[in-house]
Amino acid sequence: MRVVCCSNSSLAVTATLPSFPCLGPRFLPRIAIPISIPSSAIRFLPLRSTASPRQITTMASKNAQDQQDSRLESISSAIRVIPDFPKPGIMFQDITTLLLDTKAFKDTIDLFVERYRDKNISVVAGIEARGFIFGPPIALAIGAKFVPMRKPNKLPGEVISEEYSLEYGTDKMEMHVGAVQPGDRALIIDDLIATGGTLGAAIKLLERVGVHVVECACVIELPELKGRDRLGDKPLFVLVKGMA
Amino acid sequence: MSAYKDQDPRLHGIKTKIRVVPDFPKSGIMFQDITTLLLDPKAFKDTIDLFVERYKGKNISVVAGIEARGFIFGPPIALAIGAKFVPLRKPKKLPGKVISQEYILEYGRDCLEMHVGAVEPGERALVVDDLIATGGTLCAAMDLLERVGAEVVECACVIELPELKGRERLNGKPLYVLVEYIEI
Repeated sequence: MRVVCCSNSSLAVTATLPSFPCLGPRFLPRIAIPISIPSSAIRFLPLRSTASPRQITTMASKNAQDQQDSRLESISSAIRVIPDFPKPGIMFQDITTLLLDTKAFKDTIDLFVERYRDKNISVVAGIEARGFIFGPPIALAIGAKFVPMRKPNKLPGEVISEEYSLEYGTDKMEMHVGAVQPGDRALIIDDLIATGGTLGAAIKLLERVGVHVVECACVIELPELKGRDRLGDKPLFVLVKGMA
Repeated sequence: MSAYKDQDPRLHGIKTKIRVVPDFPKSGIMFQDITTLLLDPKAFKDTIDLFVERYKGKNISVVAGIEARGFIFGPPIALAIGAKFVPLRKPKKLPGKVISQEYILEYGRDCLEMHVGAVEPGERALVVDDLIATGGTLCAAMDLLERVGAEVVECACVIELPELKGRERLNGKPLYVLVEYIEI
């Protein structure tokens, strides 16, 4: 099952998301039944929120919630899950199908922009390569710089690097010296958080040069992999949760 | 065609934000670094606007961006003109069924891949990358799109290195760039 989850944008940036599939604790989940699909392209329907009959909500807030709900639903259903990629047992969350749905892609960006536009963010750091797809549109809309965080030996100028662990071995992430300044307020963007190793490295890189990391933002979280715990005290915001 | 020749006032700001890094990735190469452009929100926005102004209303349904710097410029253009964004990737990155196109490098070969089903026959496509050098990668990108029956309307890059004659490798397809870099 996939849970559709998004913090209410009127709340302040929170450290953790509520455990309900949410648009606020007033809504109770109703489980949607996955439709039968070819094994090469498994898709899951999102969990739907629906108001309990005993709750009283204003029409205005319910309409706003419904709009939010329907945007998240179409985003969730636009993501394709591919089993056994890159190796057996892994359910790969493919966002390229989301990019083919012009409305859902726009909604994805809008949901992030709505959250961050009034938070004085001066830097959006995007992690190579799928963070390059979501980061720049957000940066452009909120008037922030975009800083690519790259694999080794791709950035041409002087860099600082941070090593991080993989399942087997280590990898390295690099950022240009001088791209960010002490006191900059940063968002880190990637398409997905799994174990949190990559995001953790990005946080360290930015903090080493005196940047304040305000939040990490991803389209998808795989909660079973507990990546959220690897982010130190940094909050994480995601649109959709998936099965690992 | 080059926007710079038409002297749009935004172009000066864009050109001055591109950093040239000598001898990267190897001796003798003057690397055109667009990361400094991305640090200037106005210049980055102007870059995107120049492309959007050109392509809006031209019925472009696909913007194909070449990994990885094409992923930075392609999506904002796609979003603004209401087109799909299709990433063209190095081998083994795309998880679904792909078609591949090999192309020649200075030493050896490389390969570009696209998801099957991402683009349909008859779609009008743009190919976007940060820079055109020899044109090998853009050529492979066009081949991929044409093999699935799309029409490549134009290739669009921020920078051209005209001395490398990439424009001539595009089989007559038009190329639009914002700035040219010529070594003096």
